[in-house]
Amino acid sequence: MKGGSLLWRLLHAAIVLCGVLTVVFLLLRLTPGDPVLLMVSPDAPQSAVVALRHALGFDQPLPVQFADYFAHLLRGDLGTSLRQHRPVSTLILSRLPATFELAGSGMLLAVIVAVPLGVFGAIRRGSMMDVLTRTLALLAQSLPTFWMGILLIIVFAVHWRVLPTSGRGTVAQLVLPSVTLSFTMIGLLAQVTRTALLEVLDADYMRTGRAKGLSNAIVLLRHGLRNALIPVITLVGLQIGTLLGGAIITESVFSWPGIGLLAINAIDQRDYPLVQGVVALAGVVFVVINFLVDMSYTYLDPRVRYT
Amino acid sequence: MTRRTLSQHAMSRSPVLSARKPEGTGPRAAAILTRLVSSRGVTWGGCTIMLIALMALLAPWVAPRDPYASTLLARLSPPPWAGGPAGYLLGSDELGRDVLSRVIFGTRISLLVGLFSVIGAGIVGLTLGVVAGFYGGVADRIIMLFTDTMMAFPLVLLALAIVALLGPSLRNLVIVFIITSWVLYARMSRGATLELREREFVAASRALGASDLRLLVRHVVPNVLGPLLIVASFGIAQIITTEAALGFLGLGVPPPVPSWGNMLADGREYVDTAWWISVFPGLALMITAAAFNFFGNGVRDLTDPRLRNVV
Amino acid sequence: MNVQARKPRRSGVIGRRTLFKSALLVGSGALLARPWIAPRRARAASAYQSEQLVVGISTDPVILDTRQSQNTTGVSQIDHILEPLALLNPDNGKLVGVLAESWEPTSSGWRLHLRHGVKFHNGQELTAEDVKYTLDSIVDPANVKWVQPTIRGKMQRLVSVQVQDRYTCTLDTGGFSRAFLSTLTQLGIVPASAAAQGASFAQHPIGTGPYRYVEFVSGSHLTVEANPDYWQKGLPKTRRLTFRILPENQTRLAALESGEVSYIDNVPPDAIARIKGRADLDVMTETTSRFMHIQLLNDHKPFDNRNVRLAVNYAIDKYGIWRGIMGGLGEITTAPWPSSMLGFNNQLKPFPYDPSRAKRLLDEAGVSSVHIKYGGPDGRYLNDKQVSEAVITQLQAVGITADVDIREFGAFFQNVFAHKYDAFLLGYSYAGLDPDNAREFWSSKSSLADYKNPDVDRLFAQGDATSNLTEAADIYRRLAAIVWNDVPYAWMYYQPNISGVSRRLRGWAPRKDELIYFTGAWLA
Repeated sequence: MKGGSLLWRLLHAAIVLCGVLTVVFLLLRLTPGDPVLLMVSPDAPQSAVVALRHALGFDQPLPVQFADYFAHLLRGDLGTSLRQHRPVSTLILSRLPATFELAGSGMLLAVIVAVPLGVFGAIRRGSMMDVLTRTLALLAQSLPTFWMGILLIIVFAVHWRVLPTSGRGTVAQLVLPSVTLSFTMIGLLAQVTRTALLEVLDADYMRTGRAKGLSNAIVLLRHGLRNALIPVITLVGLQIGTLLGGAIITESVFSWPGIGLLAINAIDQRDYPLVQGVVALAGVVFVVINFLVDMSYTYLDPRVRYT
Repeated sequence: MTRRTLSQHAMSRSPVLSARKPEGTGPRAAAILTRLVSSRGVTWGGCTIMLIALMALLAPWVAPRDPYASTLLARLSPPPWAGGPAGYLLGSDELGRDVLSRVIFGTRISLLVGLFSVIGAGIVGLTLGVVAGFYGGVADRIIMLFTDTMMAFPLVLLALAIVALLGPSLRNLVIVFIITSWVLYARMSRGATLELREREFVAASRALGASDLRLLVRHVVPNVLGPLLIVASFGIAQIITTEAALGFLGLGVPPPVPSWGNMLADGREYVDTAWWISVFPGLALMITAAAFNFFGNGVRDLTDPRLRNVV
Repeated sequence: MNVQARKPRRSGVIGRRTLFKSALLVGSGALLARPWIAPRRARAASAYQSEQLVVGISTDPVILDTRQSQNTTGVSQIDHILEPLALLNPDNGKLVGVLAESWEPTSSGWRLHLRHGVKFHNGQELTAEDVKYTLDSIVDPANVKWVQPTIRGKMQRLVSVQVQDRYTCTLDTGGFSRAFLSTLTQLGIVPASAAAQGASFAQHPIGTGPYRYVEFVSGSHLTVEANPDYWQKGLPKTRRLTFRILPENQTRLAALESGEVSYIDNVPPDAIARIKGRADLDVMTETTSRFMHIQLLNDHKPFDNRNVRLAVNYAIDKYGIWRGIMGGLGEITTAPWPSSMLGFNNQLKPFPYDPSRAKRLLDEAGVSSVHIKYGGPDGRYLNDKQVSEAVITQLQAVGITADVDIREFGAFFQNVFAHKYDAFLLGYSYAGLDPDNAREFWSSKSSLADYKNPDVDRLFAQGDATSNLTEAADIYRRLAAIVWNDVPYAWMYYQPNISGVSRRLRGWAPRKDELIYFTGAWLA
């Protein structure tokens, strides 16, 4: 739904978000597993378990729980974590900066490494170096993130002792996790940059520009790069998904206190409100990013048409 | 970035990205090299895939030992060529099971999960996408809303949640992967269908009285299959890697089944002492994923350059 | 770079460059000279032995309030901030007073006499009102939402808490319960003023402990600072204590090796050699009371037949598992609870590894080949997944094949509750180091394995009703023999507690009860 008014797009985004939240709610409630039982240890008496279940409202019929959930949501109340007894919104907000930091630096690293590689590959197209870099990029895509992370820890933190093993706080602690995370994106990013730039270099308007007598650099910058950016930006938008997935694994390996780790623990513990909160947040992020990507298309290429 | 190289491109009308027509006065050797690499991707990728598939089929005959047989006394033994006892060609794991046999049997799990997931997602996506593209209107809007919702979903989280809640098993894994990947196939099918709809042969066939279904099956679907194959190839690579990641988080195929993900998860405790437990399944994983990636890459380079920006 | 002629400097004016240079000189000079010029802050003679101690732990305490915490293993961190009324000495099972100085049995419960002059971190003195509030808040129905059901269950017996005077209170449990005191060892006393905060007390807990709360980031770290008014003089020995939460084994090990932490818990046995190989590190082990076993559903086929359960005991190579997977640490179980606890029975013998005998027993029982559902946790106990996998293989060798389900503890345990497995791996520990803790395991009402024996129920009741320890010991000895020979489980081994420490760490030793205290610890 891209060729519509701003309002329509916003409405569409809102509908999508609602759909996301509904699916998550149903998923958590309909699959087998009782969160209350997860909160007790072997020797809890049945009466206490029942009392807790009632206090949390889990013995209500599903539609009632659903209505309750949405009512709270509209008020901005994401509920209370079953496990930590604190408001979900507080928990999420407290962990968000960590993930932003990780994702941001990971993305930055990936761009810094991949874009020049891609540009280089486009310009020296067909050379041995180009082929080599493309092969390596594809290999990097096939590498499991968590494995890479552990190997990095063993090499840099244990054997050479130049970097810390885990945790968050200093810049040094950011290095290994962001390198690990960037690996998930470098391959694809380099490829797409290269391809995009190649197409641009061959395009007619480039030759027109050169024929007009403009220097290569100017032609490239003014016309080429702008168009080359479109697929790159699309990819960045799409890669948010990969980023989140990679962040979850990376945070697990490096004990990085971000949203990913929070989500894993919440899912394990059937902490319904927390899982719903994290998914809602992720959904919002996706929708917003997609929205922005759409908007940027309009800016970058007014002729754009979608199949 | 030198001026010379740019003008070379400009003036030599350097080979269009489709490797079908390498021409021009440009660096011919480089052009040929590119084509070779691309098709090398197809050949090498394809051969490796076939090799892996063979290993999966013939696993009980190829593997030297029973992948489940555990000898506690022989646990954590290095491979014989790295100082360990004979009998475990790639070493033994933390329960004294043969790593080589488990790696070989692991191909079964990976390929099974990958194939079924991709086929399932492909069928679902193809059907929905073609319907959306061909009929348009309300059906299209609804289906697109569906896909948009799915795309807005943090799919990894969804996969995690579903597997954690349903319980780790081969069947649930496949279900999860189908759910999280059908969207891409749907979009591709829809796009391709939209394009084809405008072509002449469709109007002609319609004029001749062909039913919609016949049209779809005879003409539309086969044309969509090409790009889908490419996406599927990358999809399998991604699914295999994700299955390993889920296994790492304890949500993969349940132990003691020999899956690469499980082996990597088990081996992570011993990365420094018994490196062979992690290295070989990790290598197998990488090679398999790379094979599918190279294959898909090669096919894409050979057939349709436009697709490069979509995937 | 402009190569111009230098502008002639006007006399009397200090050029910018010179100014800059001299500033740099002075600045660096000042920095370098600081340690000698500035006097070192004098350290008081009675101050701490070390400023900072950082330790790595594998479980996140999640909530810093024993009333709310769902962890059974995270308790020790909270204990640095909140203190219980008494603690058990893990070596001899005797109760040692902490906040309670002394106590005596009454006809329907216990009377406690609190220590005088103990201050909370907010300056208020500990009185019986605080104890009353703590206990009352647990059974208060208004707090159901946040009080942990297990703790609630333990306090179920509590009828009332009466305050006699400032330092005395009486606990009425509706009938005398010997073991109730041991339950109190797991409860941290909070001030009565916490009533206003309810659940959010945990976000800034105030206790009487040797350390004050500073900061807690769940999933990352817990930092506490020494309490200068702590009632035990000379403690704690370290000014600032930080618990770094590192659930991944490799990450934790790496942190110890790189010096980021001076202690780690839950060292996997296979990593011991790696740590011991370092001159600056060491490994300390202790056998805990946590006994690992395979529970067999006593009312499911095939395990409703005692001989089948016996066969499983012969079929499992616990010695191989113990030596191979546990690295020979911990101990094979020879009785339902260890020798340090009341009523230990030294007449019982572990079953040898005898697969042929197992097969014979199975044939005689008419189940020479059978298929069961097996469940096991992953990541809860030491190498639990490996142990499960070994057990499954050994069962297979005697004709018992299994549908295996190994997963994260929470989900696994749900299935246990729902009786989804015929056999499962579990590790019970005696939280209060008292045999009465096992009532939940073996009483007919609550046994997860559906073990029902009225004699055992009777003995449990008797053991708790007497305050005479000799009599109680005898009762429990008999109980132990019955349970052991009924083989409701396949008995295996006591889990070892393996810690990795820096050789600079002093004043710390592992405990049999899995609690980890750093109150007396410092870095040399």
